[in-house]
Amino acid sequence: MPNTPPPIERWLHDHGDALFQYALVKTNDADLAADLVQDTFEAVIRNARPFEAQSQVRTWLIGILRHKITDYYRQKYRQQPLQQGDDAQFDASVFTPTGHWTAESVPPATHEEEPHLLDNPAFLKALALCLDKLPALWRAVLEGKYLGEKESKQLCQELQISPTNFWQINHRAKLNMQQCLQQAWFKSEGDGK
Amino acid sequence: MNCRQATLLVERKLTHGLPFWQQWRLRWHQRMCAVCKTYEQQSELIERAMRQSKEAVYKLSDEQKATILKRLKEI
Repeated sequence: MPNTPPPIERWLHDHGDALFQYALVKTNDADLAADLVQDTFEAVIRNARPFEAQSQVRTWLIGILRHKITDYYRQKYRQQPLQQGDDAQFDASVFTPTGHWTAESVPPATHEEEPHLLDNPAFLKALALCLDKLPALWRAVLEGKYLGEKESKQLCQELQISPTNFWQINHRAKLNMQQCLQQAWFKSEGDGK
Repeated sequence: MNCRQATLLVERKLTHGLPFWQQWRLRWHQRMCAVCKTYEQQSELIERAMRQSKEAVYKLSDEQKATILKRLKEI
């Protein structure tokens, strides 16, 4: 059946959510993820090849989507290098020259996690706000850890950072998140009750 | 070991785990430094929260699907 058009409508119904979820995890942007799903199907239509084995359709579509995601990142990082954090300034704000916490940055001596914190929308919002404040490169690295191993290596290449550099940036990004949440959340956690 | 080094070890521990000797050094530091212990708890919490948001189930809305179909038909 060489000329049968691919059953796009059914595929979108059957696999659209899975593709969207995949793209969203990799890009963290719902509008972009929806566009990438569309690009995937567009690619399918443009060089239509009939697909026979139903069980492999999703794998095949995800494969196309993965290329679209890589293309997206490649273009994005080529166009504008990601904003770098000011490493020295940040380090000096958190640690003294001897490597101890500065007075302003020091976390409290105890940490008590309230139950169901991860279901608390206010906390999740605070977390998202802190993520938004990170320099773009730091954020990309932090979120890169949750990509698969393959994508994470690709990301390092795209960002032109060495694995060592990756871990240094990861350390700073995480400290930055902890400091931000300390201001936004942990500090007041015990006060209100 | 100072706190800067301890927090770096915490990050490595949360991602890959640490070799026994470094694990011991970190614990030793944390026995004297409650603050770095707290840092580990908070960092681990952030890790869990970020992972959770990545694992949530997201779906295309019916409108999004309709828009995609409409655009695809225009090709």
